Amino acid sequence: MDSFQHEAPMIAESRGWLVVPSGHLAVSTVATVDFGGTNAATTLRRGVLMLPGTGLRNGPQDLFVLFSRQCASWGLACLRVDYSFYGDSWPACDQAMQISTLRAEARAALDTFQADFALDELILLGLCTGGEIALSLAQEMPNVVACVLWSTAAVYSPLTPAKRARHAFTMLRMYGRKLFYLATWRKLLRGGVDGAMVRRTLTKRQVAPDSEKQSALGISKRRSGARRVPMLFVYGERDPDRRQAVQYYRRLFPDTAAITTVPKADHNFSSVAWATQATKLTKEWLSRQGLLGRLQQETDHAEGRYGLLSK
Amino acid sequence: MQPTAKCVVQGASWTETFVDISRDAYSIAGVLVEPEAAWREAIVICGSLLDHRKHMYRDLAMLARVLAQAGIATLRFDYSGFGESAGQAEQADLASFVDDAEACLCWLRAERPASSISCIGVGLGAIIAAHAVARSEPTPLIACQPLWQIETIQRGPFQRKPLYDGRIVDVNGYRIGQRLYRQLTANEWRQNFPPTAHIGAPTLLMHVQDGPSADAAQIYQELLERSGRAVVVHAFRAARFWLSAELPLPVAEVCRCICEWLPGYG
Repeated sequence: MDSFQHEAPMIAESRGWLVVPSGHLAVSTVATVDFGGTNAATTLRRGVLMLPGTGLRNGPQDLFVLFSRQCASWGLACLRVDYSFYGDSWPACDQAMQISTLRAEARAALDTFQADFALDELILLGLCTGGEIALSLAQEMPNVVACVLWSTAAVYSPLTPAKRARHAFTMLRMYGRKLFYLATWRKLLRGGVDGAMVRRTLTKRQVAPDSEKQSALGISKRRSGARRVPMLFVYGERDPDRRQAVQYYRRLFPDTAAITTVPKADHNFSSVAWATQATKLTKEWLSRQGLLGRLQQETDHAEGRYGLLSK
Repeated sequence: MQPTAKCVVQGASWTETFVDISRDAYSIAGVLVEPEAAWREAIVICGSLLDHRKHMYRDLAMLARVLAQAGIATLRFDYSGFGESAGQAEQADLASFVDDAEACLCWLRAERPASSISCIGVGLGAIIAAHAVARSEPTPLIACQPLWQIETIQRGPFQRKPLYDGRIVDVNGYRIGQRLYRQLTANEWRQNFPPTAHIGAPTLLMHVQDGPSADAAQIYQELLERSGRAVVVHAFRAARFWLSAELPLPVAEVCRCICEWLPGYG
């Protein structure tokens, strides 16, 4: 192996805004400098759109930043996007919190990404709500060749008593912890605690019925059957929505869904080991699907450069 | 992707530009927010770290825009190894963060030599900002809800204990070096604080009244005053105090305080 193959690929990152009807979306792109390769005419140009849940385009613990740099080293261009009302984006209207608006923004970002990088094939990677949006987009975009869905809850998940009890328990635990803070007691003694707010928090119901969400995203078994996009679902073992989501997506996509679990991990894979495992599973799956670029073998050694897969 | 860098919103306008600031072998990702009219005041914003940085990100973005409407330019940035900046998170420590902040101050001075530049630090960034302004020419310092230790921002109900793995420490999924972890937990940041500062440069300290970070603010104030630095304190009331260090920043009030206090403003 010559020395050239030991050099990590040059990665170019750029940031900017994308103007959409609901505002200015902050976006970041990552790609290898020679994206497409020297034989670009015969190599398929693939891109990955990374859709966060409701958070920064960096993903939890900057996971999307690190993974997009890895993807670029494997020959995939990447786009990360802040929905309006998040990160650096700027909203122009107050509709952004609706799932249909998030979906429209993701679609606009995808179209621009595809056009600017002249992409032949697209891979969608979504976390949490981003996964639901990715699923929805995959149904209508003919050149989406794969979906990677991290911690994506079932789009149709009725609020069960167990789920409500779990929420109340989590909140009780949080309030219990706060009883150890001096400031909490100061506030209690001064009568500054908003009892109604505490009660509301403990008995909180879901803001919008999931059936509305399902309708906004347009995900249905009938429509999903029309396009058979390979999908990888990755869940943390301790993700409270995992069990229900696994059953739901197994039923919805019996032929195309590969479902895997990271032991002991939580919803956001908030440990280096869990994040490493999630990205490793993703990489292996993408590789099996034949979607990693020509750089894959050459740059395996470069993974350590970005921290995630070095162990 | 060719971005549209200019954002014009509802009559008030500013220009927001993503910039890359060179520092040694790599570059720091920054966002420069400029008022539409010519400006002479600028502030470098040193954000906090780890999850605290993530929670405050949007607040600081909004603060930058509100300040721009008041005619003050701002530069926000990601510390090397974190966010979108280059560099290795495992090698970062307090000194490298201070270098980053100093590089941003120098960059802004070089871009606009005639402008008056201040530095604002939020959370753990308040310590970094204090060190950075001590290194350069007299620079007004604004500290907002200063914090000293990582426990203050890691004690939420969903946080886990840090995991040690040889040379790195895993703090809720952030991979940081042993040295930085030691600095964040063993009070090392307080041992050399305040740094040798320009006594003449004023300091504005803002914190939440009675909030869990009030004690940290008190220590910050005492240490600065002991060194002879004049500190103006503004304690603001917060509507919510439950989330302690993750309090939403009262952006409008912070902006008003800064505008009233900044020596050269107006």
